[in-house]
Amino acid sequence: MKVVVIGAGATGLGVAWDLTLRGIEVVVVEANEIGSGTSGRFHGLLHSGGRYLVTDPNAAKECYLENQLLRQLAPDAVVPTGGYFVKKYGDDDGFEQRWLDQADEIEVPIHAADLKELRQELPMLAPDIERAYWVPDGVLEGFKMLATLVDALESRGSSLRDHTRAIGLRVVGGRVTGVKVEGRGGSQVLDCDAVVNTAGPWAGLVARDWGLDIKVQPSYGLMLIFANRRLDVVVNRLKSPSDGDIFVPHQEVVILGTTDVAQPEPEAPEPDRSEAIRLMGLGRELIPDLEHWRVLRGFNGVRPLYEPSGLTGDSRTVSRDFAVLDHGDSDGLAGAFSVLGGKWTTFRLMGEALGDQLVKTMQVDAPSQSRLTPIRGKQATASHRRDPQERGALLCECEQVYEADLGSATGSQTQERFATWFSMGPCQGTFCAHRVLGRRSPASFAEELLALRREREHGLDVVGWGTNARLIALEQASATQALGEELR
Amino acid sequence: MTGNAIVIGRGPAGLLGASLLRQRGYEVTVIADGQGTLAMWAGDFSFIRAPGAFETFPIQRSLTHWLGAFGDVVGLFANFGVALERFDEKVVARTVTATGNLRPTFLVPSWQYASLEPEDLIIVGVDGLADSIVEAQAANYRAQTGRQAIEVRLARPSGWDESWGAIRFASYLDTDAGLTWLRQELIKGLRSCPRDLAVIVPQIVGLERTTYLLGRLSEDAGRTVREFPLLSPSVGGVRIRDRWEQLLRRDGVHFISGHVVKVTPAATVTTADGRSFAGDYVLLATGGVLGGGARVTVDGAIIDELVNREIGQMHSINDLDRVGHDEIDCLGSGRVLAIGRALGGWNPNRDHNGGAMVVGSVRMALGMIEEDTRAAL
Amino acid sequence: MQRFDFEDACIKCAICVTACPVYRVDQQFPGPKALGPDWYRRFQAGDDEAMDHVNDCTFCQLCEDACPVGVPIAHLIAEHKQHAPKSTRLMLRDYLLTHPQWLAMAPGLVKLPKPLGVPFGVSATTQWPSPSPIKRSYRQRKVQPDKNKPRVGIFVDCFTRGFDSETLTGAMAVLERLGFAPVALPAASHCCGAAAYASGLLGEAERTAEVTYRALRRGAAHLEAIVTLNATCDDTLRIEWPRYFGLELATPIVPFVEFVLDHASPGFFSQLRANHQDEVLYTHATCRSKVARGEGSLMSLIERASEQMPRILEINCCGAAGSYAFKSEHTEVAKALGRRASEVIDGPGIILTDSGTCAIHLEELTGHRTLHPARWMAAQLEHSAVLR
Repeated sequence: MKVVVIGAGATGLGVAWDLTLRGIEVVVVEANEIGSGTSGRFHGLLHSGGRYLVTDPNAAKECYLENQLLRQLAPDAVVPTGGYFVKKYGDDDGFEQRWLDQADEIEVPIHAADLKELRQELPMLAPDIERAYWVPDGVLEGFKMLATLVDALESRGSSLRDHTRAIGLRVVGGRVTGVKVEGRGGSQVLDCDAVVNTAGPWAGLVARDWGLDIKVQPSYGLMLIFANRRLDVVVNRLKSPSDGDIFVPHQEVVILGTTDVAQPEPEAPEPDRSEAIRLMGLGRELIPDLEHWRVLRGFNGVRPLYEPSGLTGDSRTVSRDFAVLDHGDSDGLAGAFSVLGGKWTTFRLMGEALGDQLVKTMQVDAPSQSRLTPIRGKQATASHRRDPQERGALLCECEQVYEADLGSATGSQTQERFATWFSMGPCQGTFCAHRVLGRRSPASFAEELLALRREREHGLDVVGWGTNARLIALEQASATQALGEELR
Repeated sequence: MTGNAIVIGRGPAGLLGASLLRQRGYEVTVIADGQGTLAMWAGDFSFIRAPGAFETFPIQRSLTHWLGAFGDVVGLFANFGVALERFDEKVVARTVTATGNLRPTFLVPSWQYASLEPEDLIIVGVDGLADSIVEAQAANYRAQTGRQAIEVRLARPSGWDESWGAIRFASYLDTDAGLTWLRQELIKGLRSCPRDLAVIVPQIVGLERTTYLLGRLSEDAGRTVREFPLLSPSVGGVRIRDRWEQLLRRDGVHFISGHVVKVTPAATVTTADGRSFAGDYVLLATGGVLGGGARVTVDGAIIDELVNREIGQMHSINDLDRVGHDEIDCLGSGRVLAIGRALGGWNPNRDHNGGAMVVGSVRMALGMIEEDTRAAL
Repeated sequence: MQRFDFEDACIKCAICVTACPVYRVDQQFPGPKALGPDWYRRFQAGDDEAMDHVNDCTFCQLCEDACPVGVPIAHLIAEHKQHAPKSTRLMLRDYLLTHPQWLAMAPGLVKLPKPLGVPFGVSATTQWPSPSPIKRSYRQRKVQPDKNKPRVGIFVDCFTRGFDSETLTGAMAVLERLGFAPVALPAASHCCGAAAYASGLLGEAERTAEVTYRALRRGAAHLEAIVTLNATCDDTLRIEWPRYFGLELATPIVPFVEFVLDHASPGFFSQLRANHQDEVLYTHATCRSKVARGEGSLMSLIERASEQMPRILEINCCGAAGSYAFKSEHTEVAKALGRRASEVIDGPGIILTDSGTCAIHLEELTGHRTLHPARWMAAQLEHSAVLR
């Protein structure tokens, strides 16, 4: 049995993983590169469920169970930092009570935090904290998880084809028999028994190619990245979920999120400075000194929300739960499925739910294994502690990238960035961009460098204050005066 | 004795202001909370005579004025042993960058490569130097100029390790072992190259004895060997900074470390640790956003905290370079004068006129001081 | 425990690297950017492996002074030093060397044969000072200050206490001439903690500082000022205590040189000039004094107190760096740093510098008599030859 999955984000790879474990061969086609959609623009929170206890208890329960599961299944991509929900004087006591009751009801383990110890651990918190609770929040390292999933799939016989866009279906007698794709090698048709649409914010467009109408309602949210890991735990506000109320530590940075603005387009818009200013103001409610934190950049992520009845409204009330659609059932297109909505934390569960539906419909006897199987491929984790004499010159000093760490020249610069993190640190490529790109692609160097500079600017300009404004000034002076580039 | 001047800031404008004031007999105190930002600077001065360019400079002066100011600089640098070569203002000279682009320039230290017309070149790469990307640099140079660029690669020296940046290479080249390494590698690498092409090497040729080293190398190679600058920290900037500041100290300029928190129109200066200084004149050479003289707040206001004034609003990222005081006489008292990047309205990144603005604004400020002093007598 | 400000501000300009004296002479030293903010960011993310050669940092703080955006580079490196493993013998040695007040109280210890210290990593080749302890009568405050004059306390650093009583005597004489009554500060205020901090023993530094702080709070409450003789102690008391230990004194702390400049009358300086002998004067502003206040004050003092322009020793760091040069693993770097000193002196003369350990180091390197400005000025006032 062969299935084509459209979209190599968390949902697509989660689906592919679950199906592969059932013995089904999967080809994932991705128009761009893994993680170039929602999954690559994440906050990084491995939800304990705490955020949804009151507003969406189903989602909360799912999150908690998956949270615990993923810690076992993918320990290399999950950091069990723990988190706090902090209530300030003036926040609704009624909400707090309901929150506590729900935690009890759904059995999410939380416990009250000692305020004095909390101050020791997090001295930067606002002085007017009334109470705080510890929750089992964690951090999910998105790119690592995606890469691990791809590796795990490929080691079991499934495959990924990136830069390959699905453009339509081959349907015979109301049944899907193949997927038309367009890619580097030209166009072709991939034979398959079923196709699954997991294109996230683009799911509506994919469905349109199939002649179907799915009401995907994207909304985007701004996140700000702070340069240093000044806190080691997740910090949430204990009140009705709103904007700018979560801080998540992620490797060397801290990410503050987020906002919520509905928009019809699936692409993330350019971040907006007034939104950044507003987000800073919200963040200051928890951390008053936030203006003195070194900010690195801002970016928008697009939520692939799905509301079955197609109602528009405040996107925060649209359920974060997910949906599995069997188009054979509802639309007379047998063998076509869509998985919509959801969040990073529940990607595995979404894969399992789709898998269950698919094997039932296709009448295959293959139960899900993903609950029990660790997500691991064949590749040994690359050791970074190589012999110093072998590493070559140090190219990116912020993120310790040496000449020997550069991957194959055929991967894109984006892939190189996500693999090594070069240009993602405090200099945002000012010093390392030409060093890395000059070695990777000497022939197309000028275009590659310009592309990277543009890409880095998207997120820098929106947070151009304080020390970051000085970095931007240095970056411009460096590029134009030292390296002779044109001012953009 | 002509008077007492305080210079705030230790970048190119501050040091130039201090030098020229001292030459005119003023007691000069330089107050800065750093050790200077010349190390960010390649070492050459730009002044691009695009048609009508100087009319668009915020402080409009005649061409004679600008050129006179540059003349001051050439003489000053000669005092501390750096020979500056000046090009004709009617044409645009260009230097080659580490990425193979051409950048306009005007006044260039003798160690740096610059030419009027792009020519065929031999470009040298050094293994183990992160900024050395000779293949990409040569490819880009060819694409930009249509000229030939022959790549020569030098093997890394023994004793190299991965912490070696340009400064370390330069220190190494001040030793005999370093010179031997470079000579041998260069001769080897140039063996099969055409005889009459200029050779450009990354800017690592010593901190102390660059002219001597380049002379030896050129002799051995039978071709002119010059450097192309790298990024911050710039070895060229460091050479100039170290020599310049030594000269200033020898001439009796006092360097004070302190973070200035206040400057009044009456030319008094207060530091964060409570010291007070009073001068006849204060030169504000604190730089714009990069130098730290102007601070950008979260909501985009741009503030000069020393004089407690909002000097602009940042609407777009390109505004960063226009930020600064509108007038040299920034407080209206004739005694506190903004020079260099503290003066706004110009953009060296776009107009390649950084050198011109620094020397021009300093000369204007000095002119204002001299006139003020004469009037007072 | 200290909290840092701006530890995340690094824009990677590497100006700090150009200011670091050790980076220029030690080809394996990673430099302040790598050891400071680069390392600290990884450390905050959970990677606490220390880098090699972090202990080669002299803690001169020129990197931190050079930083345009305010990163506390030297203090991040001090934090880093805590994670570098050391053998037990070296730890024992460091524990002793970072309590210089003990050595100051028993200065005769330096007369022990050098090879005894070698197994503990004490350099056999670096020049040790000769004991010259301050008088017991001063320590026990048996000398009564003149009640009619405003009182200032002299912070007696460890080196002066054990090895340079002449400087203290000189400083007292000058202050008295300026119309002040110098008083002895409590004996318990014996150490600012700088030596411990420089070695990465931050806990020890804080403990030492607290003891001294309590003593100073008692003993310095009604004084015009606390005058410091050593720039490192000056910087430590004035900047590091409040910022890193939360210890703030109400009494102003002023370096000796600046105190004289602020309070001396023109008559005072004319007398010094009249008595000036012809010897050439060289000045060396130590690294920490460049960082704390800049070298301008010492220059101003010499210009006013003598008929000549002082000649500045153009060296960033002489290599003494407090207790650094006494550690055998640093002898090579200390020598390399100091090599320049002998190169930049072009004739006979005396060298004035406000640090005891720098003075012995410079004297050994150049063969020139090296003194504290206080001692030189006192000798000038008395017409006495200082070259004794």
